[in-house]
Amino acid sequence: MASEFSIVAFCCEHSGALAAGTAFADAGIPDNVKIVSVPCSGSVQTIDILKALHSGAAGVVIFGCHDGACKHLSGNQRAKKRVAYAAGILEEIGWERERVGFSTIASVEGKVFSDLLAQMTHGLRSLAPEGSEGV
Amino acid sequence: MIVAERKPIAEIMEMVGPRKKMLVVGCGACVTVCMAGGEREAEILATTLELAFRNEGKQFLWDCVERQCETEFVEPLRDKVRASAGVLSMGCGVGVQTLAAVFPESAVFPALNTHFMGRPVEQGLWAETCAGCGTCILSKTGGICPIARCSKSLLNGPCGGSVNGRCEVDPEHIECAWQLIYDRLEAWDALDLMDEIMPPKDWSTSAHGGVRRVFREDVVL
Repeated sequence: MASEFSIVAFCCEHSGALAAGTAFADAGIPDNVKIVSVPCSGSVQTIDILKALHSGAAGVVIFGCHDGACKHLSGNQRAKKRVAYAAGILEEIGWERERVGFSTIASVEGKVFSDLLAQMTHGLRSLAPEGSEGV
Repeated sequence: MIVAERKPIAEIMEMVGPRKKMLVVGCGACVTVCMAGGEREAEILATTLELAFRNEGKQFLWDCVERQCETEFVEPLRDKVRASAGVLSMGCGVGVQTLAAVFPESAVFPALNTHFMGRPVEQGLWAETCAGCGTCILSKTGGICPIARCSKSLLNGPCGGSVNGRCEVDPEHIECAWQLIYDRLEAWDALDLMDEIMPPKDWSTSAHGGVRRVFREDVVL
């Protein structure tokens, strides 16, 4: 994973990845964002989140399907719990919980997707640069 | 299985101390099943520690053996252990001591707190079921151990603190073991066992007679 990406966004291919496509159809994906399409948000493991940070990302976010819409029934709930677990680990080592996030989204919510990423970018700028390459 | 939990990261970081390169060793047995110290958790801990010590450039390698409690399984780690300034074991207390015995020249530290022998009773919840007392009485108690599961380890229960099948020590979380035993014996049509008075237990087979050992001459060549 290239360290020049300051936010790694793991996106479920049924929702987040499609929303990303809509959001950045015209302007393209921002330089500070790395989109990683996954079969289900529940397939993202805690270690994937930590490795993204280890590779230099300032923040990691997982986009999963809205409740009740997950093709794998509970993948989004697993993702949410793994993000919470990873946030706890970060807190234990003195990093901010806000470096990791989870959000549900629908494939048609391109605007919501870009707004959430902009919000996370803004939040990360206010944090100390814990090994980040900058946002 | 042996049930354990990872120690707080701060405590593990303190054990790392000035060491620049350490090996995190997971175990593929009990602690994998209770999701405390398997391959996945070993990689998570090694990565977490590298993040935590990022500015000090410390290195944390990781590996996982099938069973950390047996010499034959940890022996192949020798080269990696030699190349490290210390080992963080994600096995139970037995695993830690096996590593320390096999590699006496290396500093070996526990990354887990070992709790008890138990089983998963629901998702995310493990409970103690066996105290390893050395004299099993499960045949008389419907397969439910009063030593491990009764808060007072009563041999002849229930006590007066049993209310609606719950234990007075923590009614919300602890079932009365003797209520469970009664219900099980009733299902087995063996309630007459409840009338049997159990004599004081021989605790010399438990933790009261020094280090316990099991020896079988028949398996020695």
